[in-house]
Amino acid sequence: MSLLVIGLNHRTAPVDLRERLVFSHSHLDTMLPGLNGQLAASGLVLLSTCNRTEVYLSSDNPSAAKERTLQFIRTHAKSDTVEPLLYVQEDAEAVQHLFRVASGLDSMVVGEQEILAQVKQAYRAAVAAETADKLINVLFQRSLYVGKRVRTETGLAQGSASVASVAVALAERIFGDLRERDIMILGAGKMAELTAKHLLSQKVRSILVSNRTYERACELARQFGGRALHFEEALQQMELPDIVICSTAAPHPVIKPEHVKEIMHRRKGRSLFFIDIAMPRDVHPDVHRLDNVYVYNIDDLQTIVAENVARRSGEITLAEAIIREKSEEFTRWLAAHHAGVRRSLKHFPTDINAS
Amino acid sequence: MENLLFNIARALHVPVLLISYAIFAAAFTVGILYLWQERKMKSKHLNELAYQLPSLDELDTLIFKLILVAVPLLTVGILLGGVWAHRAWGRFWGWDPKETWALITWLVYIAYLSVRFGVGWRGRKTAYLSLAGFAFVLFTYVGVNYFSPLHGFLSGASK
Repeated sequence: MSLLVIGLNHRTAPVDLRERLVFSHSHLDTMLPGLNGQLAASGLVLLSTCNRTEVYLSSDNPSAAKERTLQFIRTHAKSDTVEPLLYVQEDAEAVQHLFRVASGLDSMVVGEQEILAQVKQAYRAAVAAETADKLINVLFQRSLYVGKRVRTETGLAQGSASVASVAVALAERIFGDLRERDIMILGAGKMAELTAKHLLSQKVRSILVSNRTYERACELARQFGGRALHFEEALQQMELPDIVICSTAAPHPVIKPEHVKEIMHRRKGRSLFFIDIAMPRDVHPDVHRLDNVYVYNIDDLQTIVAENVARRSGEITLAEAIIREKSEEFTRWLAAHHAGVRRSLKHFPTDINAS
Repeated sequence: MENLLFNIARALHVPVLLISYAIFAAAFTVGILYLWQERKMKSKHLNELAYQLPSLDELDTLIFKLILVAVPLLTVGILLGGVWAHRAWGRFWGWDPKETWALITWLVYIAYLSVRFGVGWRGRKTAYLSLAGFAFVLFTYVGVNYFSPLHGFLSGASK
């Protein structure tokens, strides 16, 4: 039985390819059941975030599983030329990869908090769809444990280097003091909520919340002390806010250049800042070309964060050490497991005095 | 009474204009900073300095306020020049190159204030307008001296 990870991430693939390979929760719920069988795998987890899409597999026939998974990705990417953008890792390497991902070391924002919850969610979806076999179960539970340990034992997750705080810093580059500014949230996702929280900590003047589901908008508006709007209403009233946080699940841009031109006219040219954390993107790229309009999408924000984070190299070394130790331990357990030794992971500790 | 006005005009014509030029120079400098910062925000490559400058809105407002203060000074300075010319040369306005270019400079800054108030232009376009305005200031102050028979005494061209 082999472990395999096949996928792409923010380093290997551009945003327009990644957005074609984003699988929503509901999509996963219908797609996952039986997918392990189709891909010649015994166990399977599909991890899909805005930065990565990865398939983790355990299989007795790794070459067939690999071939079928590649075909699966090609089909969803609607492209036959994605293979150079993919990585494939096996066994010990796959284990280490997952541990690095769960710890936030492989994230664009090194040390960011979201990814651990996303790994957990992907694993839960696999359990619910009954695509997690014993090996996948042990591996993912271990990865959650390692991810937590890296967070508590290193300073990797500390500091302000996050997408949300960079968005706030950029808003201050445009507007200066944010106390007299108004915000609109379009599409009330988790990331939008987080970014709004950061902005609200700067005591902005007002907040408008809009979502396809009006109830969810009301819920968030209550939480933030803001006002809820119906979605169409929000598009019409977009001259009101100075900062618009977009995170709708719309498959195409909902905010187009001609629309924003009209808004800017009504705003008498006052600056407008779009924080587009939706995947696929909500704001058409040409909107950024309009005068006094600034559009930063998730990639832009994360690039800036990555620059900021580059200074944390000491913590990264420490985190890498924990991950190395834990993945070696897991690999030893895996070898024993294959040899028929049925033992718990704790019987395969790394000799910490060895290094 | 007319004598008093003439004396005031003669005393204040140059200093009032020089103060307005200095403020236009400040607006020009802030305009350069604005355009640099705006380019950083559009290119999405911010460096350390970009984080230390005031925000775009603050820079844009500062340009506006500086010009808003300098334009009345420029207006008064030009009018005082007219009062002085009335006594010295026998006419209030005579389309001397210095006078003409001062008027053009004045019109550029009036255009700046109009589009800012009326049309609702802001940011990059108006920052360019403030740079253009200062180019006219420099030309009026220095360049024109070589063509002006009356104002040319500053550079000795009147001889």
